[in-house]
Amino acid sequence: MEISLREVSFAYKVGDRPLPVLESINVRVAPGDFLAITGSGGSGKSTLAMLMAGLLEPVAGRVILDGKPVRGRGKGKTHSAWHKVGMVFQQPEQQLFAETVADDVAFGPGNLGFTGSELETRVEEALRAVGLDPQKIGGHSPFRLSGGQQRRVAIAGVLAMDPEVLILDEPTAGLDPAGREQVLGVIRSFYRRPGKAVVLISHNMAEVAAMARQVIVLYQGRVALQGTPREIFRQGEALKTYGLIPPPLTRLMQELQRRGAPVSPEIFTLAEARAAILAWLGA
Amino acid sequence: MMVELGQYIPGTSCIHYLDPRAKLLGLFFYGLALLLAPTGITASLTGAAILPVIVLAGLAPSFIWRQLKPLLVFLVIIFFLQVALTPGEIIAAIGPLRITREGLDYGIMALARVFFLIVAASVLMATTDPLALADGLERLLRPGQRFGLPSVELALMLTLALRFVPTLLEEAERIMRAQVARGATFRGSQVKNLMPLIIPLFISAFRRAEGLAEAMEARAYRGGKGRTRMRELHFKPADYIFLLLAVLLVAGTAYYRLGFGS
Ligand SMILES: Nc1ncnc2c1ncn2[C@@H]1O[C@H](COP(=O)(O)OP(=O)(O)O)[C@@H](O)[C@H]1O
Ligand SMILES: [Mg+2]
Repeated sequence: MEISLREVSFAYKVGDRPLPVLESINVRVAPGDFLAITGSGGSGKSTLAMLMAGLLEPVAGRVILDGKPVRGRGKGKTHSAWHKVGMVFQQPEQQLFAETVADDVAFGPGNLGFTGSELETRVEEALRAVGLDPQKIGGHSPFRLSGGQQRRVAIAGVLAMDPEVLILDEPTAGLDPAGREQVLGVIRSFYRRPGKAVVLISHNMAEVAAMARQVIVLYQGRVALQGTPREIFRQGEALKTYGLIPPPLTRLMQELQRRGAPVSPEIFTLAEARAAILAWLGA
Repeated sequence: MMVELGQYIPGTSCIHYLDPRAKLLGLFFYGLALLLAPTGITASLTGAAILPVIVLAGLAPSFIWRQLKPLLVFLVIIFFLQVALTPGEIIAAIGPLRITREGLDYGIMALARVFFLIVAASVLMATTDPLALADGLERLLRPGQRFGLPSVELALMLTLALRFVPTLLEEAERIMRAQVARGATFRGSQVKNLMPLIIPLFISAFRRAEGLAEAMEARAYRGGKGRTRMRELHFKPADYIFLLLAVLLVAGTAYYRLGFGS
């Protein structure tokens, strides 16, 4: 599944007036991609995510799925293609509603027409994929689980629809460190499966640096920067004007370099930093 | 937004600056005058008293029209029921439908009453900050406290409800989108189909209410007793003039009702 947005603009209607939010956005996500969308609050990240998931329709420009221009979810006739795009909203635990965890996870695939043992298999696989034991937790009320568990149940509800592209809007926001790691682990293992793509919305730069292959920085509804994490975080100063700061490790290395240490400023992982510092101290 | 009824339009007109109590009482008197007006023509003339208020408030005709539009069918039905069901002197007949002079007059009267009352209510809502409105209502209901009417609590409830309507609508939209992303359609009228929307909405409303209660307690709220207010209401000359005009309107229609006008 390939999602492509061409010259897409979007405006919310506030009263009678349009409130422009996105302008001339071009994005493409193909199997094997891991795209991070970042930017300060209000820059239009969530809106872009909803456009990519077919939950909003652009006011100008085109949304193209596998080469075919399409309308939004549930509009027109080409809606079934959208089933391959899964969207995990901000604080998805707020959409839980069923009496049991298993019933809630079954809601999506049930809407796709799955029943009986096939539905059960999907639910169990999805729960296992988010690290929850279907036997132990499937019959519980989702409202009695911890915040991190609730979020993983909500993600399982989307995974159970077996999407090819998974869009997640700030999936780790508001979780404790353990919950955050668990959710990132779920995303990583989804991405490792063949033919899958991930769009991760996040303003946690360390997360973006560690996970993404491509990064888009939004600023006031436009694409301000686009490239690999390396290319993006190299531009510490430019990032600041867009309301972002590079991940702490990168900042440390940039600061070391500024003070004369012979280390690369383009470092994002602990292992890289360790190697660079050891090489510098060893020399 | 889909709901525009009762929308507040911030502004600086003299109508905006009137005391909310004066406007509430004004609406009450206006409604009373409309009820007292004995004929279709007098009701229409009484109703027309709102026109200068609309002009002074700087409200566009299109705004008034949008407020009325959702209720149009209702207004038409009221009119035709009155016209069709009132016996009297027949002035025209379309098939089995006989239109009587009295029916036409009643129809116009009923239409004018409801029409102008809706217009006036939306002018009140459009020119008064909801918080000021709740404040004014509390003051007007205060005498009722002696008879056990919890006027302060009622006003607080009203204020909070008004404050959270847009929030809840936004929340509903958000949850609806999330469920659509999971393949929900919300088609059909079965309540069961609405559960994925209603349950999360209730949970979040309760959570919000709890948080709000805690935040209010943390800031030492303990009911209305002894509470002072930031915004004191004062009647100004303009308020007295406005009320005087409203009372005159009532007097005028009462005069006609009692038969002195004919
Ligand atoms: N439903 C809505 N109606 C009107 N304006 C909205 C709505 N949702 C978001 N906005 C506005 O659109 C802009 C972008 O919002 P959003 O996409 O949520 O940004 P981000 O996710 O980057 O914080 C903001 O200015 C926000 O106020
Ligand atoms: Mg957002």
